[in-house]
Amino acid sequence: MKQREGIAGLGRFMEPAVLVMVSLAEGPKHGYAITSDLAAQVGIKLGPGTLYGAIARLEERGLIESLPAEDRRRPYRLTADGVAALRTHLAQLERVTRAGSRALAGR
Amino acid sequence: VRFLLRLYPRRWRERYGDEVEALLDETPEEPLRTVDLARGAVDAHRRQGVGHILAAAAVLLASDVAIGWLNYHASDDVQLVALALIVAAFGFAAWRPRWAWLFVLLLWFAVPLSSIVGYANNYHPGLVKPAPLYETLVALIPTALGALFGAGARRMARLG
Repeated sequence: MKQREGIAGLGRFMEPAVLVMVSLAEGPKHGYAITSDLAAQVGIKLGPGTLYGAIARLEERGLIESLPAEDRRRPYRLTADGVAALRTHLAQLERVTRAGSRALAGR
Repeated sequence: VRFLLRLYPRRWRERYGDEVEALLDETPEEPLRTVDLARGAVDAHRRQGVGHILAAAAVLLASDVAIGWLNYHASDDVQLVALALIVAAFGFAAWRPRWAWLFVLLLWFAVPLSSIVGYANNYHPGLVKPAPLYETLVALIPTALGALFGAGARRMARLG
């Protein structure tokens, strides 16, 4: 059953899940497109086990949803809950980044 | 590395198996990919919950102990041991076809162990004890039939 716990409930699996969501923020993508996109834009290569572990968790939480399969590939997209959760999470990260940068500037 | 997909839970394979295979076809083979897939299998099982694994392990252990106990008390008439082997082997293998091999493997321990305990206690209700190899061979047939039955029934349920 889907558990709508948001991104915070992902615990130590949060990082790959957020990366997948960031990639999907551009539009629907299938697994290969997500990994290629992340490798090119962020420099992080997600393995198939990690990628589909993240996809399964995000689907369970209703943050992403699948679209009809194209051959063996199935595209995914962010849901409205997913967009809202990603916005909140990125804003929080931004605050952390700003606070960290301020703290480092004084050194 | 495709064989590693067999390690994932059935439900997971039905949902994501084709997609992951397509992804594997499109990406170059690397040692780290193999490690990542294996780690993903452990993660998928853990996420599915360990309840079903514990239940299967408990049934396996209970049937093993029951057969060991019957063998311990068996007189020359070993029909009850044979019947327990047939029922437990077929039933367990039909319920958990992928664990069927483990049932047979455990018999190698249950039957000799009960005999060792019997010798240690100087307890010999019968003159002739069935040999462990014989009992395991007896169990192989219903185990194989049960696994075939269970796997077939699951396949039909999926297709239907």
